[in-house]
Amino acid sequence: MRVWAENPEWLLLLLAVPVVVGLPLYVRSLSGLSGGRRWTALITRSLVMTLLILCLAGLQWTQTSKSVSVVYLLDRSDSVPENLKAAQQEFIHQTKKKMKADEDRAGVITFAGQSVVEQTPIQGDYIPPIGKSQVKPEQTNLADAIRLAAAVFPPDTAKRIVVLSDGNETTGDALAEARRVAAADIGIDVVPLDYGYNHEVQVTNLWTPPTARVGDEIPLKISLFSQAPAEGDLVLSDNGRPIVLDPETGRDSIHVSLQPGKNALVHRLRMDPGGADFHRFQVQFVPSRKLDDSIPQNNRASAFTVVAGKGKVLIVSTSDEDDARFVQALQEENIDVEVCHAEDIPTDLAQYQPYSAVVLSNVPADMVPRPLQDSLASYVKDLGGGLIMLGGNQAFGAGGWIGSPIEKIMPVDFEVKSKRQVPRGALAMVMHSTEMPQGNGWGIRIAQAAVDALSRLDYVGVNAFDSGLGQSNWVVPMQLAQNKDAIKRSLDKMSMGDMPDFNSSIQMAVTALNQTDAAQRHMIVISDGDPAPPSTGVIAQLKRSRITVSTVGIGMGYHVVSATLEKIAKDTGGRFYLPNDPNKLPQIFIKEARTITRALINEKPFNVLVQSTTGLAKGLSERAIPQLEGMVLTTPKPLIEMPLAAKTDTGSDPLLANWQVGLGRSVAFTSGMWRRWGPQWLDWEKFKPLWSQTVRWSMRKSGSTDLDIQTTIEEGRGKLVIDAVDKTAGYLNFLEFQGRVIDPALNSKSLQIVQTGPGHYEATFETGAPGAYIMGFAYRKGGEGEWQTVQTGIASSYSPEYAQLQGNPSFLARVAETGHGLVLPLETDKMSNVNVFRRDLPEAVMREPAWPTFLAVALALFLFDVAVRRIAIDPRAVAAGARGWIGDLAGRWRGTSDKESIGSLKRRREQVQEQWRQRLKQTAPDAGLPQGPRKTYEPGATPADAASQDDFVESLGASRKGDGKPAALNRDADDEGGATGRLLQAKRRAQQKMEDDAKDEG
Amino acid sequence: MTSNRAEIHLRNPAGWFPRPCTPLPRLLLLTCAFVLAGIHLLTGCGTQSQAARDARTVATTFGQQGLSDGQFFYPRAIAVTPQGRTFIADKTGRIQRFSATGHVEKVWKTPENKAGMPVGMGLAPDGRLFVADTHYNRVLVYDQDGQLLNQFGKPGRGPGQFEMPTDVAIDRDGLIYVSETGGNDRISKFDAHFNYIKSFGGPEDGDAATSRPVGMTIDPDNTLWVADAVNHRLLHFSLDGQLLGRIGSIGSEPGQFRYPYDTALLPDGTLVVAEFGNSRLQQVSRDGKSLRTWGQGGWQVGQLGYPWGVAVAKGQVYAVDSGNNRVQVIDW
Repeated sequence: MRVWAENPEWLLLLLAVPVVVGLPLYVRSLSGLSGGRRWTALITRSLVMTLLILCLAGLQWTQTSKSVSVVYLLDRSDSVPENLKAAQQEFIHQTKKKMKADEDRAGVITFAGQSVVEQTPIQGDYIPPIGKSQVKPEQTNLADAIRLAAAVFPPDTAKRIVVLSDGNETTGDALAEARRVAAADIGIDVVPLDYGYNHEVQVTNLWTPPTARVGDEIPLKISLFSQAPAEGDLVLSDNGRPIVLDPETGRDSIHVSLQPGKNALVHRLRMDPGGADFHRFQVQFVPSRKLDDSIPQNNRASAFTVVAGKGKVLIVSTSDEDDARFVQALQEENIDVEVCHAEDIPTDLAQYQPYSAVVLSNVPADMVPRPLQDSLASYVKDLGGGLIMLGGNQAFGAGGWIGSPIEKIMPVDFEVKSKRQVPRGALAMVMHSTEMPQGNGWGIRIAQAAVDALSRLDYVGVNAFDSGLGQSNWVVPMQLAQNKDAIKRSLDKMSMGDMPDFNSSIQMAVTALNQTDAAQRHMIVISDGDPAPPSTGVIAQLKRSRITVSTVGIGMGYHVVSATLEKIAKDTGGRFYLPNDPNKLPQIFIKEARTITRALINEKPFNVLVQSTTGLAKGLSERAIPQLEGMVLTTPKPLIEMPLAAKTDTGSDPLLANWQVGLGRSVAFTSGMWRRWGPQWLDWEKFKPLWSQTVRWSMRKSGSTDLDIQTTIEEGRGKLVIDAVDKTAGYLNFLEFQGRVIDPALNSKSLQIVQTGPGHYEATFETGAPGAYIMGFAYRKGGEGEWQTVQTGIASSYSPEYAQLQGNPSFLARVAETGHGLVLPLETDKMSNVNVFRRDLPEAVMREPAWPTFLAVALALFLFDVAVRRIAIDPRAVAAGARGWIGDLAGRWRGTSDKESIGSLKRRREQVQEQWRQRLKQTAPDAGLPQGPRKTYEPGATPADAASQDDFVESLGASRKGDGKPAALNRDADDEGGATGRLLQAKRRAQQKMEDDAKDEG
Repeated sequence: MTSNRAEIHLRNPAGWFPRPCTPLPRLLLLTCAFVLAGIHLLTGCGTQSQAARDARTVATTFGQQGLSDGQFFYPRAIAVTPQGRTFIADKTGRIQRFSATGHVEKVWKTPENKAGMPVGMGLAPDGRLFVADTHYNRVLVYDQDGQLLNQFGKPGRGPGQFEMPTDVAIDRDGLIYVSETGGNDRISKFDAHFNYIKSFGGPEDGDAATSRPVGMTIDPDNTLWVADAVNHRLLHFSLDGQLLGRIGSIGSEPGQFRYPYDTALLPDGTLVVAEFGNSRLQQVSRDGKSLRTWGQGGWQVGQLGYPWGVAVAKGQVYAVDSGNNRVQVIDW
């Protein structure tokens, strides 16, 4: 342990200490003090000053340690062949043999597109099994891995990173990160993984014109690269459907023979009328012999073409019978309609491009995965599409859509905010941990997803087994789901213990559910089924209280005792789930939460009010509109159009609402499910015109053929070039544009389209990850008129990860050089000299500030300094006083009363008087003796009494007051003549004595 | 000469201390009493003394959290030879053998542990180690060096089949008793060649109904004690399965149990019980009278974190301190 000063310049002040301290020697504060006290004060003051100066100098205790921590970074991206991945683990195993036990530590991080800590640096020879972790293998981000490694090192060791990679980074800047990390004294060694392919075929590009007209024949240009001669088949598809390439045989693939080097092919395709207005073409190469192609991921490419056309509507339906009339009405009004079932809903944003509007008819949220909900929101906001939500008993709030991205783009909120009498729901969740790793994290995520899906009027409670308490307790006590953020924060802290039986947790939940005033009561139990099943009594209690229990068995490969869970669900009328994919769990919980939000459904007949005749309800008169018999409650957002409303006792509820959001439009109709809720509407004459008006209004307005669009991707940047020419071939200048681009991860950014020449407009955007980049923009002429929308797209077909045909050892060598490290061999037989735990790194220094201790001591000394100067203690007097005080206490404890002590005083006085009488007899009377205890005994003569008691008191060390008499005894001093004279003399003598004393001490 | 400085002269302390003395000693006594009471309340001297007493009886502890040899991750099963050689199974599927002085001697893993890990083990009089491979519905038989000698059992609810076996006990004639949970919740008896003989207990067995029997021990008087965890009691059976007695009920008072997970016999014929729910050990007489409790929830030596197992050897009690990833050996 050594000492180190952060600001050593302050130490110069130490020279000033003697001066500063010595000065007051001549100043009053120290004068007048006795020798001992003066020196104490001086020393104390010097010490205080010294300590303060040391604090200012920033003194720190330091400790160095020689141990080394190594973090291995394993590249698990797809560019690294499998056999080299196994060799990585062998390398770790061999190099760990040189670890110094009890000192060194080793950790492992695997990385590809993301980095994951497999093992934080620990002592011991444990090596974690490296399996399939979610690191996004289609990218390589070495910079991220280096950054993560720097963060997991323990602070008290020397640090080294060992990178095992092929050096082909696709994103991030590893050299910059290495520089940053080297500045923090972290060493970097590299182990290059080198390889080469001899047989590889890549599809390097597919080109189609970005725009075309109906009737045009467009070329599809395909480019391929092959290392060696190869044979294979090419397959082309359009919007997912294969294109017939050989009209004679009807085959949808053509056989090709490839030469070494570049190869090119062209196929021509006619844009027939009645087709889609947005085409995504894809080409795939399938080799005849597998050996001819080493990396299959680079055998695909795609491209987009937009054709000016009519526009189609996609209807996602959950009931054919309910939607039949609706579909028919639209078709009769000449709108192209395609129907799909909710189970088959397309999941890719690009698949929605051919449609100008999408209708979700009574579709619940658990049938639309969250990423697809984000895509649909993007489809409306960024690409100008239209979205219509039709109601039913599984739509809007009752469908689990609360808090979803779709709610954000709809003109109504799915929560009901007013304090109306809506029957509430209550949901209790019972959580049990499993043998599955990360089981706790999953439990937290699921519970939070369910809380999100509930309405603020509902009750929610979550309980789990607390190992510390040995029983279950509430993580979230049963409460209204009003402050969802606070509830989700409490869930973050949940730790699910090993529950031995279900009884106590379920009973707790039952009690809590029964205490709410909710109409719907539901429980979800999530477990691996291990705990002892609930007793028949508890099941009976559940049935009596009409609480349904759904159970979810979580194992994911670990053992699940499903029999127990199935029985609970069956006995209480709930559902049993056994998902094999943890990602399905949040959807299960959202579906279960819908049991509660059924309360948002209003199934009473109501009349329809027309709020505005200029919008979608044009031509409708209130009296002629038939009643509806059910709807879902919602709350209107501000600044929307609400042509139709439902009449209730308290006012009105939204029935038909619409607004413009972003580049697109959305419509909400809270009733639907015609057979049950609107049979009269099916026969209503205005049904057709109302819906065709509404659907047409929401449809995207496709851009015209005024624009000629080109899209390219170069070096990580995408470029959009627009040439705008009107029908007379004149340039269209000063067009107003609003654009957005959506990347493959569905992040949408705005696109700045600027005019760079006559009729010529350009925009650029970043491209990183591979996939489809879809652009949507709206334009209008000179600030007036309707916005026209156009979509186009460009695909970056596959990650550069799959274009790598060999490793990049020179890049890795540069990384090692930046990190002042070595390039190490991978092969075991070359590793005898390799030691990643070598001690050539700067030693780790641990510093702890010393100033708090110094400051505390200085403060104490300062107080002591003040005390020394201000309080004078005479040790003898203190001792005497203490003696007397203890004597008093002792007297107390012996139980003597006041009277008895006066009695003893009197006896003592008599004794003393007797003694003095004896002495006086031996000397001459009135010979000017020191008065002191002068005695003439007269019975009842109080002066003598006073005097003797006086002496008695003085013998105990008490001081005389000014006139030499203890004040308390002054009362009896009423005398005359000689006594007075003696008293006066006594007084003079006492005064003299005092003055002498004062001279001594002064 | 009087001084005009502010100086307190302490030459005459009696004038300084209040002379009649009445208030001061009382005041001081009151202050001392107040301070002592405060210390007592704030530091919980009462419980501290219990924890201190328990800590003093700990002869040794071995194991700590970790994945290397000699370290544990949530240890649950224990078996100890009369000489003190200890076997521990934890939630990584490893079985570790420790010498009587607490040094790790051998480590091996059960053949499969993707579905889950064993929660109970028992030693036969001839030294073989029987492991209840809980999530694989079977019993594995090892020698003390980790060699797999035998295994028996298949998943199911029928006679001789297993549904999550939790513990194994072997009597002096070599007959094998296996307790199960997961729906069967019973004890099954097998002969020395692993042939099924009979079952007893189980959720429907009336007075002898067992719910999650997690631990068993064979009494030298040739009877069987079962820790009936979810019924919060111990059951006493003859080796033929006849119910001889029950002790305990749910609670945390002496004489009550909360999720008793294992039990073992002390040399004087009394029982020591590991209580998962109360994080303590309790010594009870054979008729249920509580003689002593040891430990409370906590991480220090002398405290326990939801113990799963307990064993007795050489007069010492070995407690599997599951939540604290160690074993505490107590001079009882």
